[in-house]
Amino acid sequence: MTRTSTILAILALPVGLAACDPFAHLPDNGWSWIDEPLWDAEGAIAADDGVYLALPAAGELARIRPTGATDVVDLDGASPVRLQPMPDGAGVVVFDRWPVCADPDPKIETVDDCREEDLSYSYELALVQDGAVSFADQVPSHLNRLSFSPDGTIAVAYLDYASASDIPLDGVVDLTQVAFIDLTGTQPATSVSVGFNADNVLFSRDGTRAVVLSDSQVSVIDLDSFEVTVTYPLTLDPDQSVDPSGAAITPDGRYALITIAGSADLYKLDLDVESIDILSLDATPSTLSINEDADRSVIVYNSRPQVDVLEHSYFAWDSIGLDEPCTAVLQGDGFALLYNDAATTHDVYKLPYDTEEPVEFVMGNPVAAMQLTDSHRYAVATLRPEASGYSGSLEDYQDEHWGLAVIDLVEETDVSLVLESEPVGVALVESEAGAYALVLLDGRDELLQLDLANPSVPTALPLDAPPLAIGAMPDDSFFITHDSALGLISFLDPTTGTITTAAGFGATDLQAEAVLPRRDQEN
Amino acid sequence: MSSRLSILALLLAGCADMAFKTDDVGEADGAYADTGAAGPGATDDGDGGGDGYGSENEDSFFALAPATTRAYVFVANPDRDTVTRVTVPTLEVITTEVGHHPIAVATTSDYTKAVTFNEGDDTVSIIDADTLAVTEVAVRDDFNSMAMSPDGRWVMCWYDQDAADDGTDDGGVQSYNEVSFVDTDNLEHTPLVVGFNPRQVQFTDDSSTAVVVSDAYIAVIDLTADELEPDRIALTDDLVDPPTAEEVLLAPDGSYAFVRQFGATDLVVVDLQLGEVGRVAVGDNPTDLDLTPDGTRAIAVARGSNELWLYDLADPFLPPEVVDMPPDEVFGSLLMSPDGTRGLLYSTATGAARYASWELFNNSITVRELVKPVASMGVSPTGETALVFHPRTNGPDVDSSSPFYDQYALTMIDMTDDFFSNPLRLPAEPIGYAHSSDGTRGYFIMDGYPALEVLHYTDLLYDEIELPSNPVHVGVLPESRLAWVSEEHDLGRMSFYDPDTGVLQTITGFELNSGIEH
Repeated sequence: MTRTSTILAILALPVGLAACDPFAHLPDNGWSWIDEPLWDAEGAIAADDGVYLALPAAGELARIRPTGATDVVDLDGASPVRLQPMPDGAGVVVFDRWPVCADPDPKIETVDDCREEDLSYSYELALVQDGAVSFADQVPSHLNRLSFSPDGTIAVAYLDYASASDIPLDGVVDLTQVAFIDLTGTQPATSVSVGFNADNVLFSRDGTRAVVLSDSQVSVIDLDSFEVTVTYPLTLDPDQSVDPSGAAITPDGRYALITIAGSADLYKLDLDVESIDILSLDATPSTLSINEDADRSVIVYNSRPQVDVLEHSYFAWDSIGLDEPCTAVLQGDGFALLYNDAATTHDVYKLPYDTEEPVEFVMGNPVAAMQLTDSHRYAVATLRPEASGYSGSLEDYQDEHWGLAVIDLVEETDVSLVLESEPVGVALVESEAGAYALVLLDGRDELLQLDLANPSVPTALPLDAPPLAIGAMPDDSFFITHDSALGLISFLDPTTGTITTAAGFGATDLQAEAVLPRRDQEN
Repeated sequence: MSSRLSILALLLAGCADMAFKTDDVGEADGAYADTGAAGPGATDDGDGGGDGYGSENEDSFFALAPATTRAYVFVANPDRDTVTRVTVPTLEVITTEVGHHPIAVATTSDYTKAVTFNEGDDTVSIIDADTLAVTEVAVRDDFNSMAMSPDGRWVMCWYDQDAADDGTDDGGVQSYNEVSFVDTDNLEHTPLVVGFNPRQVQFTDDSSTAVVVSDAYIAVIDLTADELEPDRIALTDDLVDPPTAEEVLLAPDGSYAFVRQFGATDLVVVDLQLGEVGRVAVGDNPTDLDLTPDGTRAIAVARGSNELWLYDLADPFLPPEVVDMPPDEVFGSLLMSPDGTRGLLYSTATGAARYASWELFNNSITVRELVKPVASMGVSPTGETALVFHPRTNGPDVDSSSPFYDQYALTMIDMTDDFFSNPLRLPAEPIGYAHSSDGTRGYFIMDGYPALEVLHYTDLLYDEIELPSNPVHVGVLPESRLAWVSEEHDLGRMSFYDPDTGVLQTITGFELNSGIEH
């Protein structure tokens, strides 16, 4: 849903509004403007028990169940700021906040009662499962993203500045800290200083330590004590900034491989022997990706038509020439799929690890996104339009349209399809019955189901409204959000083709009073 | 400080193969370069004693610093006050802190310890090679050189006036007569006064005796004594203007020391047991002094009189054997083959593009052509191959049409095949050289040229192995063919080359290890 002002005539609201006097806080003439969207379609998160999403206007968190029922999650007066899925769909992580009035006057009950200069916000992180808060703890307000340990018992909150619309600044903010959160509740959240701009967190395979990357240093934190055990410098010159752009840990858990923005250096940190080695690549890498089964790293470059396959014993690598540079990698069973989602090139390569001889596929248009089916039999690429020759040829026609390509990685064949409009969602589903792509097109009230074995003849399922996005549920069903001001989500069972909908949840608690929560706790 | 200098004092072992080596870390000898001390007083200035040529130059680069232990390579990082240990062949890297500004590192011949000289705080750090436990021992102030005894128990530190000016003078009281001996086993320091301007130290093979040579004295120190004391022996009666000792040669058993003085017509022979000084004739302008590999004779090259003078080390005062060199040639340097059966005669001062082979069994000398003059010469450990490094200057014998004109060059000579040679034109100046102990491979590096050159002694061919950056030092691990090269990089870089597999492995950034915090 786009962030446009939503204008509602309060008198025209449906019956599902709150039972309290809806007119008590209305301005003159009975009209009120609501600038915020009623529901956050872009932030919908699927969990085992339904789809969680924020209701920004109401300041609530809602759970929408496939049955169509809607529940409001009690956050004890807090409003959700950001949602993030928990591992394996167990629930959602909610970064929330609640207003605090510094004036302890008991007559001050609502947000409107509190003077603006006395009003501030407290922040916390809550885990929501089965429609209720299972864990909550305060973390620094500027930390906006979580990484989870392999066993899911520890989360690390850090600042992902790239996705931060703003940093809540209340007094002092320490941009060098991350917070370690014990989700079992055994110990309180612990803030640890790990260096400026810590924006990437890795975990060792055995889950005993976390590796946090920040500007010019890497910190290793023991996950029992939450203490920094080792700090690796990426430079010895305090005037030099070495900015990690990507990182991965080798399958044996011993080495952390770190690429550096704007540099051809690949740092290899030995986490056991505690030493640093720098490998010199041929250019600044675009992506580094590890295949666990093959125990190989694949490195591609946006400036060179080349892929490097790195082994993890002696860290020697084979450089393999390509026709066109690639910027992204998907790992498959025994192979890597290379493609370029940044340039106007068309090539996609399947690189088997046993032969290291790339198989080239040429797409009809440049690739915007790529997915693999669960079996890794098929790759499905979303193709974006490109500048055409304007000669009226069929090739130009293809260039001017969005497309979808299906690559059979076993038969090593591919087909590029032309789409009517921009795809707003592509999801893949695979079962014994076959592999399918579920495609939503902008402005088309249908779900197109493409059999990847024969993608040229899609099956269309009607939808109640134009779709916005499609997402996967943990049980292999799907949810579809729609462009509907009051809220509309469809749930699709791909095995039966049945669709259920939940609607109108956007108006939930819309007219509830903005009472100052947790007043007794704060004062 | 540039990375070249930061790796200046790089990793050295007291290699057991090197008899009479000075173990002079700053400029170590190779066993099969000119044996006997490189003369720190040798210069290219002056008229060399009257024959019109300057002194012969025993290039220290060619007498390469020996390699490391069998298992470890130690690199001193002067800017970080650390030493990095690289384990071979796993290339695991561990860094440990030592004293301030280590400029030299050596390893003991049993490979159990590494020792650094820390110029910045006037200390010696003794490092356990396995555990990297470090113990520091203070020495006298403002030294700039260190040498280790063959058994690794002793190191001597001193101020070498000929070393580069590196700001060691802190401006306080300074003595130019002192040295410091450190017992690395018992961690004891003994300062001694040995004579003005100590130039070098030599140890007997069994490390029982050290002989320190200064301008006018030889100081003999019994390293087996409970307390070290110098037995100072004046080399000359002229204490007002004593002639400078240019080269000193020590008999393996520590019985005699031979001193070649610049421009002299005799050799000073010091009986180290009795402390008596004698002199023996040596022809005109002796320019080189060497030991036969079996340690039984000393040989002086009298360039001025075109003669070779051979002395019996059992009794140097017996009449020497004198061998005439070819009358039309001028040779001032001698290089003995490891088996002692032949010598190579050449000169680095005359610019002549020639050398001669000398067969000791019949004293026959055969003059042979080279493509260019000689900058330095060496021979493989097995004595089968000789190497000649040629300067860029041409000398009178090189025609301008020669492909080697105005170029650096190297010649490999097969001494088992009638001295058949393969001259190579080089793209840059050689700055380092080493060879494997089995005599099959030689390695050298060139200034500003990112490659390791691998010489195949058996067939006189070569390979060029590209390096990721310009080389600084090259060496070979003891008792192996694995070559190592240190290279320019702000954070430290070293490559290891295995000639059996042809694989080059490189580690980079090991100086970062000094910044790892716990």
